[in-house]
Amino acid sequence: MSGLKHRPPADAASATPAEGLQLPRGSKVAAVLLRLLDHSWVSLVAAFAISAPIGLVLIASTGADPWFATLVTIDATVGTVNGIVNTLVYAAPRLFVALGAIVALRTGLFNLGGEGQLQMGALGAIIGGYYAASILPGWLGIPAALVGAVLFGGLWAGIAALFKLWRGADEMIVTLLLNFIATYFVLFLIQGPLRAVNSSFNQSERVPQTSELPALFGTRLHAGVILAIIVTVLVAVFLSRTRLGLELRSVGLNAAASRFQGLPIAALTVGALVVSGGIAGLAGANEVLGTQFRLIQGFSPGYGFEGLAIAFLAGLRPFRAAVLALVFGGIYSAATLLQQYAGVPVSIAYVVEGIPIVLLATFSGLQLLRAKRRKG
Amino acid sequence: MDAILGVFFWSSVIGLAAPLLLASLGETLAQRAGLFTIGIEGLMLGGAFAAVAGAIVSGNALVGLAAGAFVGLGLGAVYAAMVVLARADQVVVGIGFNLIVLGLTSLFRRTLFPGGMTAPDTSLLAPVPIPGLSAVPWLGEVLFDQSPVVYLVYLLVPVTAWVLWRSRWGLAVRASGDGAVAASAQGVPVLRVRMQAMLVNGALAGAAGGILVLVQSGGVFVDDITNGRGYLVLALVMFARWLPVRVMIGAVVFGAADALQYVGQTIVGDGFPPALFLMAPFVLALVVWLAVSTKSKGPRDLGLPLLG
Repeated sequence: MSGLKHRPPADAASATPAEGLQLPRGSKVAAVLLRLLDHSWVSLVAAFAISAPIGLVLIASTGADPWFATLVTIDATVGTVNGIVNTLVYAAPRLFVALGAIVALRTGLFNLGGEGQLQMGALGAIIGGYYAASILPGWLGIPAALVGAVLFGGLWAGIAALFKLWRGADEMIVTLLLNFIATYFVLFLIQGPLRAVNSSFNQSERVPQTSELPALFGTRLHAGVILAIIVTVLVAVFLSRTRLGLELRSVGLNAAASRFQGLPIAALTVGALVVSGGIAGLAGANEVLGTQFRLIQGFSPGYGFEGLAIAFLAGLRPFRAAVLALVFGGIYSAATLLQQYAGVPVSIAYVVEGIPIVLLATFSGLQLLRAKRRKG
Repeated sequence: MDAILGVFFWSSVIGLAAPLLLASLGETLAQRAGLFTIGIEGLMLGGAFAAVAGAIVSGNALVGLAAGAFVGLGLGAVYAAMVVLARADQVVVGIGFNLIVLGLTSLFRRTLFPGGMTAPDTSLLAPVPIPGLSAVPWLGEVLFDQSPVVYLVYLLVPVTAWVLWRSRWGLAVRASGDGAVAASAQGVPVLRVRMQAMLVNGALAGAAGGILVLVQSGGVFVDDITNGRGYLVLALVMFARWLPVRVMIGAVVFGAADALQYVGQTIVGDGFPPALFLMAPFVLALVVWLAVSTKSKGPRDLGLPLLG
């Protein structure tokens, strides 16, 4: 499976012109449009510009009025204080997962296990913020919960690193499998050992107030959003301005050359995956300590794959991921409000988020193909 | 202990393995051609939805199954256009594709079938004992009292092996996944072969979703009913080293882990947490990674677009 890790060498001699997709020749408009798509911002905006009307058509198909839906979407995102707050709150967990994924993907490691790592992170947050906090002084509640989340998420991702180094197992498959193991493990715990006494739901006990992330401006907004911004800056600085970050990226670009250079590939692989999982674990802590205050069955509506989608859409750039997390948060905020007001199923959000991903991947595939053609 | 050796348990193992096996055979062809289909989860889910929808609309479970295969084929065509023709990154497309199918099936379930989705009559897919063979104690009862589509799925194992190693198309498939640029230079129509492999994969995955929901789940479609089985298929195909017979053995082993959630309570007692049974196939997949060395080499161009 080494094929998935590396692009073919850029200077590989091409044996023959490939058959296949003929781009429209002589059509100047098409050529200009395609060249415009080479700019990543243009293709990103184009992808969402195609996805949004499809979303409106789907909304109309449920019987809701698209114009009303548009107004609700504005209200749910930038139009009202509540909308802005909800967008930020929904963006934070997705951003944590995306940032974690970026660290791994930049190292050339396909960590598709954000969902499992955030599930374990949420577990770590409960262990730190509820169980450990009960014997610690109050001010240590939040740090204990955050450390627990990072530790659990990181170690969970570390399993994939061990499998890779020890058995040559593909981390993509292993992290995918670990998602389900973690989700069912957490489910098992909150159905049994960690289940709150006298509760009719599958959920843990409530964390004490001292372990809650502080609310901001008397709204639903909480310090997790600020933490997400801080981690964004840290990841960006780490990847682009530190020696270790450079080493990780160099492994991602060319593992063989990095080994030739003397970089400890095994240690960097483990390190990158553990850091990646730790950051994804913060998504779980964010939910437990900032919005739900308990570990609740099904607390993640699929943050794992949404975060991964954000990382890919952002071209693995941290700040762009922050912007896209806001877009995804806005989509989810709009979808929940539409469900409330117009009975539109919230799952429409997945469609509106998924379409830009496949479009963008298609744009860059075509770009790759044209670059190859130009070189001959 | 009696229950785990019982006819009922092993008979459901053979049945539950069928959808995994069918999707894995399609995925084996696709991976042999160089296509790594993360989107197989979505292909199966789309097929499962279409199968129940088709069964409800037509009143005929076989029509439903055909609808599942047909929708799988259509989704496979879209997928192939993106990853084969447009050279889109296969992992990225797969992630987005699965999100879209999850969203659409969940949306359509609510808007088109607000009363819930249950196939009215799945009797056409009910077990048909094979006269004579099914009378053989234990083995016959386990193997030869299955739904007709389950027999068909197992018959596809030698067919797939024959196609891969004895047919000209199979040769082209293997060449397309193992040195695609050289194959192209030798005149193998790599893009066409990959398109075809992806279409077969889509149709088989769609039918697999249909079998899963119509034969194994009582014809009831719920959101995300495939629930990670597509990812199990990916794991299965890889550590079966892209060999159909090994894929079958692996599918039966996973089928056994899957069957635990239905009969496990009777084996280990009522107190055992159900979530741990649900976890079993995924844990098993990890354990198999440890047991089987995965360092032997697969198709060289797996996951790579044809550029050159």
